[in-house]
Amino acid sequence: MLLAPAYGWLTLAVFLPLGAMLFFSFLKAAPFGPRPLQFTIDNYLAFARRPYLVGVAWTSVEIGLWTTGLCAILGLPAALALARATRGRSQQVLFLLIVLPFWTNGLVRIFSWTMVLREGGVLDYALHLVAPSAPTFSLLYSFPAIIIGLVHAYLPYMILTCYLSAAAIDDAYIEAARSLGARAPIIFAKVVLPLCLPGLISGSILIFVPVIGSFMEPRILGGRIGVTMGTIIEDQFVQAFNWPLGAALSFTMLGAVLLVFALARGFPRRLLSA
Amino acid sequence: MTALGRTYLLAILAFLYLPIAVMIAMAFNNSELYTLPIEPSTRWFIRLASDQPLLSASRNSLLIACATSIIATLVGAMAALALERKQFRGRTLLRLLLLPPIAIPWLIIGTAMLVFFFWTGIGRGLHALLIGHVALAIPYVVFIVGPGLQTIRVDLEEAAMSLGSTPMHAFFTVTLPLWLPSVIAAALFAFAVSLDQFVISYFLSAPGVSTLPVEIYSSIRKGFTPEINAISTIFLAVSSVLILIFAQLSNLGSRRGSR
Amino acid sequence: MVPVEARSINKLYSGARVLDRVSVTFGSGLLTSLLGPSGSGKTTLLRIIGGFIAPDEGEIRFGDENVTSVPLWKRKVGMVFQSYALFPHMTVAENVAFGVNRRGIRGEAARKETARALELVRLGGFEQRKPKELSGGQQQRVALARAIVTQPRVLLLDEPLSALDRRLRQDMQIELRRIHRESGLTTIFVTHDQEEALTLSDSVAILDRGRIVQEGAPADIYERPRTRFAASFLGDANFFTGRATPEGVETAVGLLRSSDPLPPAGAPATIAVRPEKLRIFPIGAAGTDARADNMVAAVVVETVYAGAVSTVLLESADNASIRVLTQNREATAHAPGENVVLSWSATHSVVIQD
Repeated sequence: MLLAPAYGWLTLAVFLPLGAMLFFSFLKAAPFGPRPLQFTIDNYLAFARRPYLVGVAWTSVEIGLWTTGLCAILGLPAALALARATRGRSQQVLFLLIVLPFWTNGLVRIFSWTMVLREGGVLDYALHLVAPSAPTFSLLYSFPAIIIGLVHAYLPYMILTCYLSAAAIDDAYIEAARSLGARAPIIFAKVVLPLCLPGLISGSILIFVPVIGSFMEPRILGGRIGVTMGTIIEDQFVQAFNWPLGAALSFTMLGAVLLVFALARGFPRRLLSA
Repeated sequence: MTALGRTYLLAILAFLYLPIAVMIAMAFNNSELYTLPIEPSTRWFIRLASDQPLLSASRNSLLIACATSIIATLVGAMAALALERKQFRGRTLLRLLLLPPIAIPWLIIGTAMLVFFFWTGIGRGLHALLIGHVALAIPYVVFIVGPGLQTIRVDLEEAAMSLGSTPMHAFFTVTLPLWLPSVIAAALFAFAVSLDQFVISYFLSAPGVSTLPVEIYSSIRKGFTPEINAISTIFLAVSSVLILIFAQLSNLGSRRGSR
Repeated sequence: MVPVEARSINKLYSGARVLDRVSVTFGSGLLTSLLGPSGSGKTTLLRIIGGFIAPDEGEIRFGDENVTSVPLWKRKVGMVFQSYALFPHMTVAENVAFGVNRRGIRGEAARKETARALELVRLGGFEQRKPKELSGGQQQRVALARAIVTQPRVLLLDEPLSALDRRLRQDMQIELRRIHRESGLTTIFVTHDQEEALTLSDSVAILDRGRIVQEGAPADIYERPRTRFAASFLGDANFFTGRATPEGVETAVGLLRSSDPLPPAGAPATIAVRPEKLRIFPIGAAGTDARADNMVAAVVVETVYAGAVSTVLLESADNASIRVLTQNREATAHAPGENVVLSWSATHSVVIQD
């Protein structure tokens, strides 16, 4: 049948691997070797046994929240500006320009940020052009650096989703509000914001989910303090070779992700009916 | 208000393009340590030509991207045909099953693939990379060609059949020509997704066999050579062209085929 | 040309009976309308005849041949879709030649056939245009040409005029009649517009909820509807209900006579009278039609003027509503509240079953 190749491929490449990983997460050690398989749920209790993981998990969530929040604050006005302050040709061009960074190599963008943020980098250089006697300035290897890199990478997502919502707002709503005497801030709060809510929410999901699993940005921009769930999981597979633990942590994170999805579906309904 | 909006937009764009501008500038900067001010030079581009690991990784990236594009488009288009045109139970469920590759963090999928491939003996390397990339691209393809197919009325094929076309002939003479813009757009998109894919490639690469993004990553960990900037600039140019073509085709695709 | 026959067609969609033991014969070379409200199953029947969907039970025959299991692309039918379904990426010529090419005729011969078909629909010279450059009426004619050029065994039209505006629709009705005459094809035409059915068809089949209600020549069905549905769907009708007696039907407004056979005495009966068959006379006026078979007293409620004709709304003694259609030959208007007598002949009383 027509469907078979696609779903067969996905089964082989996605569903079976996920299943295998689920299996792995219950093992004591990776099943490569003469020792018999031993099952345990220890790996899922990792948070209890290794308390530092809780801190790391919390850092990941923090990074997720900061990134998503900043993207929302910066992105929504941009989307509104794009939807309402531009027309026709220039709107199309601006839209493409916003989408284009998606297709630059993510890693190189991050590395470019190091060149901007570090000692002797662009920011430092610019500062010294203006105030030659100021001390050297480096933002690199810090929490803000990670956030900057992540926001930069994921901002287009938020702009895109909010734009789709904003563009769909019928001018009639705004005119109606204005004719009833509402001023700009109220119009924003009561008309524009609620109508953009779906875009904000889907953008938030698109951003929060990958961000809590990110490991490139924290490593490169955060250096030693850039330890997140993502980097820990990566370590288990690439350095510590504790695959079962990595698997368990992955599924824990997946559980959190699914929780976010579930919340997000119920959220707008409750908010809008309030 | 409008002027304020436009200014803000431009500010955001400046933010978005700052690192990209830096990257391009550094590609042409003579300095090996990225010290400013910039001394224009094309030395890194020249050095690229002899940087074996980078070149072979680039070649792999391009090869895999091409293969991914072709396979994912074919496979995805077939799936989209079945999902859009045929009625059967479980259609919604199948549509949902397309979401995991996009919704689940690539870290998890990548590590799962690594685990599974290792366990079943598939191992790492070019073939593993191909399997992974195609799996990722398929949902994107389906979500692009699906709506494109929806705009093509079903009675066009019926009309062709009433005039003597077998279903197959009707598909190839009527539906496919009208569908082509979407299909090509999806192929380009799949190409771009594969080219830029890092996380999955990271886990599925073998020593000596990797893709460009992975090579760049290890380069960054070791001590970045500016040739990376050069090749990234080249890739940026290529991706931009692809995206522009994609945008043109999306525009075209939405205007033909509907009465 | 052969007649087309549907025998005992049954079709269910998710449990609902869309077509219920439908049997119809479409005369060879005739234009037959399938008339009915939406949901009556007429389009489904058309599609089953064409081979687009299969019946659950029953047969379709083209002449002697049972084509029920013949696939659509081998059935040699011509279909004009409601949306015209012209191939947007092909020129008019390519559209029309599509079916011809499929039969193996190409090149010069195909070009000639195409030109001839386009001439028939009065679109000669339009070969190189694209569908999107054409008006609705022109697109429809291309769709017709495309369906006819292959000389199909039956021509099927699915509400082809519904997308056109009134003026265009009337012009196209005349065009369709001409094209049908010149091509001589057995034609089946689906419509919900009873006026269209009346003006275009050699024969009409009325469908209601998956059943054939009545079949026959337009005039026959119009003058002698068999059921209440047929009477009110095709045209307008006044209904008088009562009980049958040997002389006529005893109703609340009096004894009504009919030239039709009556049900057994005592059985419930309904009489239908078309609005244009009723004549209005003021009460006590000279020239009251004393010899009329049927006379009913009524009070004028309102007169609705429509240029060539007027509809007079009246109320009878039992508070039932009666409509009369009069030609405005003289300027006699009837004032609201006026007491009048309505008369009509027995031949215009139609005994109907509900």
